Amino acid sequence: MSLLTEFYKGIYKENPVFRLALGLCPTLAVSSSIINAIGMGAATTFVLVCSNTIVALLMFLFNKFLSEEGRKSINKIRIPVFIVVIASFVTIVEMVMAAYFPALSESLGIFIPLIVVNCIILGRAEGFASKNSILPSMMDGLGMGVGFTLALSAIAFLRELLGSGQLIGQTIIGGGFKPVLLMVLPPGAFLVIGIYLGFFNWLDSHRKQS
Amino acid sequence: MNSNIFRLSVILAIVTTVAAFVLAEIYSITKPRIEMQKQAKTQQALNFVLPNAKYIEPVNKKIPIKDGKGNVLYEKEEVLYYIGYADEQKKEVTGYAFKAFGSGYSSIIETMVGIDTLGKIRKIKIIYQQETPGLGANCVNSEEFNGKKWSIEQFSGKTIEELKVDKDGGPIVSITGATITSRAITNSIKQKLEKLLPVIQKNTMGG
Repeated sequence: MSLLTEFYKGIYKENPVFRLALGLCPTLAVSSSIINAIGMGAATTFVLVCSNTIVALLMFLFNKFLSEEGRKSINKIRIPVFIVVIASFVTIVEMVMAAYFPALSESLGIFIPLIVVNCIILGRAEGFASKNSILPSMMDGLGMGVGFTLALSAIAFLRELLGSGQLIGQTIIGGGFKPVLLMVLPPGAFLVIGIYLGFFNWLDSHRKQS
Repeated sequence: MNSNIFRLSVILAIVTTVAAFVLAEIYSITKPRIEMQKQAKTQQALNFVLPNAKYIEPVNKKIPIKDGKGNVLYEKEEVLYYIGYADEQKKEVTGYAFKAFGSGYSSIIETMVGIDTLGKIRKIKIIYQQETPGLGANCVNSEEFNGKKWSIEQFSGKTIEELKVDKDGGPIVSITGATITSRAITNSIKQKLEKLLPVIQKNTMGG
């Protein structure tokens, strides 16, 4: 039961973008088309699951083999260790993508290295994985990743539809429709994220009342 | 205190060493494939811009890489342009191809350009771009050119003098809302062509 809860909380209750407002910079950058959103979401999910698992495993090993004093001192270097783990996985994703999925790596290009500084990942490593055991940490990473992907796709859906009249590269609204160029530019991302955040807050307060 | 610092260093060293080994291993696995993908992409673009070439050969230039004192450290090979031959015996030249790089709105746009022996553009293909989706990213559009909307097809048959976007008074129809991108592509082709034309003319005369 608890494992599923760890998974589901990332999708709605603690959705990284809409509820925790984490990782907004990549959200702004790659939510201009659905393809990019899904690719970025998948890459982030992979890194999140791997880094959460390894961080939980490392913490488990540290707790098992180090003395009380050692555990205290390890706290001082836990952030550098997390960053090494995260950066390694991001580099792996980048190389594997370039080798086996050239089309995807081309369209995501510069955004992949940015996953390193995506605060969702360090946030979950520090806030969840370092305090929990391996399986829940994996589920937490998976849930957060899926939640991030869904949030990115939801934003990209509106931006791509209004900004270029297309969905997944296919023209949906043709004819007399004049695309709202603002939507594919960064200000459009702010507007759409703001509207979604407001909507989810409203939904939440509504649920609490009833 | 001292033993504490020692312990922290050892733990950090172990973690980073393991990470370095894993990365090195994956790098050595993926490197040949990444190279292969790059070459396949270049080859594909070359075949596209020089459709009737049977054999395409790169012309390299050695660029000496120097250190601060002017000593040559090593020589780097760079492809200047490609020669397209009509037959595999390399007798008849049918055209040339080259890569042009232009700074667009949010990326360096890489274009493969094919020209005939007189320097007229045959076909172009955008190999790399990271322009704004919905705006500059439309530069890859390859629909049949209708005289109103940007398409890479409109470059076919253009001479060096005609490489100018409409905003600058030329015949190239720019992308709606992305003049910077259109200008970057057009001007980068023009600049590279200006440098190559004398070389190509010399080749044609000599051969």
